[in-house]
Amino acid sequence: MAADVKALAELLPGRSYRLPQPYEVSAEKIREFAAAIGETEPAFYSAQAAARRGFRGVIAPPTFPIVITFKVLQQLLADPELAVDLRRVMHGDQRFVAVRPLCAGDVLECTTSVETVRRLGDSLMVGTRSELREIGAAALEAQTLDVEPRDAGALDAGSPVVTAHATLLIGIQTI
Amino acid sequence: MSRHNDRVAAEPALAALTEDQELPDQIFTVTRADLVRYAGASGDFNPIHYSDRIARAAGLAGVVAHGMYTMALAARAVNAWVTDPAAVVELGVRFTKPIVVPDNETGVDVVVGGVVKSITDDTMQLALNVVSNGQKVLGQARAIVRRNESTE
Repeated sequence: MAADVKALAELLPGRSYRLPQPYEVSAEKIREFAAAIGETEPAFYSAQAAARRGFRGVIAPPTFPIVITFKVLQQLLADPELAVDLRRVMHGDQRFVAVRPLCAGDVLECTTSVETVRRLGDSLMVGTRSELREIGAAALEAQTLDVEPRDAGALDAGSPVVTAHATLLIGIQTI
Repeated sequence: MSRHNDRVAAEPALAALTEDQELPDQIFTVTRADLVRYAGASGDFNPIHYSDRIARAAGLAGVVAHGMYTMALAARAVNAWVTDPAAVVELGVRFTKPIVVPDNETGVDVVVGGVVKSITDDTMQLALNVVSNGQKVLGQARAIVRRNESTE
């Protein structure tokens, strides 16, 4: 494994992946996720409840973005050039920074890049950064609602709605 | 949805929280059925979250909860405390200890405690203490929430 770890340490830095097509956030997927974590908050289920808080659709719980970023992390782990042994990957840490909650109707692109690679003996700590961005002005125009959207000012089309930082531990015995 | 014994306490208003204030423990029960449901909803089908055989081959005592499921429970606690589902601007954890989920009806409890660490004009930082079977399962767990609650 040590040789693999050494090769990986050289291959990983600067790598970047993106979803092959935009992710369309749907009310049903949010409801499914909210139900799976046992949430009962009305704004995670009802567009009316979300609208009363200034959102144009059902809003997503804080960890929902993992549904999207996990897909891109899987692309990284499945990259044939890297030949990562999935049995030797652990999720070390996770952090989300959100300008606002994701919202049904969002059309997002997701890019994930390898930010840091630290070698610890026979294992690697791989720091990744995933950015979820709204696609195009059309998505912003679609937000028109009677209620003033919350954080409209903060919604610059160029900046990510959510940034997710994940550290993967590669090469160690799982658990 | 059967959520068995989850006990989510009613909370004081966000604006009323003060520095160093301890937040009431939120207690969640995790069963194998919850892990199956979470696997489907999240897309994380790592077999250590449903197969004892594979979990043991990986050196675990048995099937373990997804770290992200535990993180989601921490977020539920935050949502319960601050009563604003859109308040979380930052949430971070380290996965320090896997939670073994027994193959029975009662499952295992996860207790999320919290304390208000600091308050600014706009935000408030919460330190989270996430424990199962008397052991801390998440490290450096913290949330930053908005104070200007979105209301009707």
